Amino acid sequence: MSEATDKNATSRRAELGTGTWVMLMLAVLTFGEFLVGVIAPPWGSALLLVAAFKAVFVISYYMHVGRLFKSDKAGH
Amino acid sequence: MSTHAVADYATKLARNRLGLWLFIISDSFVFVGLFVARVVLLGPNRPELNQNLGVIVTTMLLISSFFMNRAEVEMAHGNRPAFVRNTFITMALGVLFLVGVVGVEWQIAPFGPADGAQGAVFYSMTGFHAFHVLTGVILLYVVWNNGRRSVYTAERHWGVEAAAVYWHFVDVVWMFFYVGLYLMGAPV
Repeated sequence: MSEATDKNATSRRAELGTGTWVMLMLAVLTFGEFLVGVIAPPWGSALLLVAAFKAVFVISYYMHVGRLFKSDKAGH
Repeated sequence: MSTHAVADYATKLARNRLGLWLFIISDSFVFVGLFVARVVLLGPNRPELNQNLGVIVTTMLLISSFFMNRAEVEMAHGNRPAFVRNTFITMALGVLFLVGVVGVEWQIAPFGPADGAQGAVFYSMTGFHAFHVLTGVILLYVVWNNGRRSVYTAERHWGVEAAAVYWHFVDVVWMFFYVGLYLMGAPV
């Protein structure tokens, strides 16, 4: 019972940690976009690439697209 | 719960997820269409908008996604009070985003919806996106209210997962719209 609780707490901490890490990454990239957009607006294509990079992070880690391709026994 | 019931639920969950993602893919075609319209109609120019407000509302939406993720994780681990708290913060940030875009940016923009291509592009892109944010806030309210009434459990909370995926989708769309409207090209 205690082992299961510990496992649950560890997994919760790891998932929250991943969420925070992704958020920091998004914040840094968005600030970079803002600076580039203000200083060098013609770099539109590069900014779109950064946006695509950010989108991949959100789709992978926040939207959990991987869940589509695996079957949960208990599920949500 | 019997093994049979668990298997039934897992099958239903897999179908729900597929259905939600099919909806998201089909919905994203409309947003892609709007973005292409922006590129074709405005080309190397962009609407003259308030840069500071743009980055503030974008940050609000990003932070809301962070709290939505926390809400989902907390529910998946049976921590209902934290789920309720994080969902409320997400909702509040969504409302602030709407106020920033519709309540402020729409009012201070130096052009109206009928003022040529930039008006058409800006108001249709932000309007359609804002409508999705509003829908997301309503969905979050339903999920938040259900959470307060203990409708969800750590094992069964498809409603939470669906609301979270939809909310993050709205965030992803804005990542591109922010670049298209506020950053790409020279101001008109």
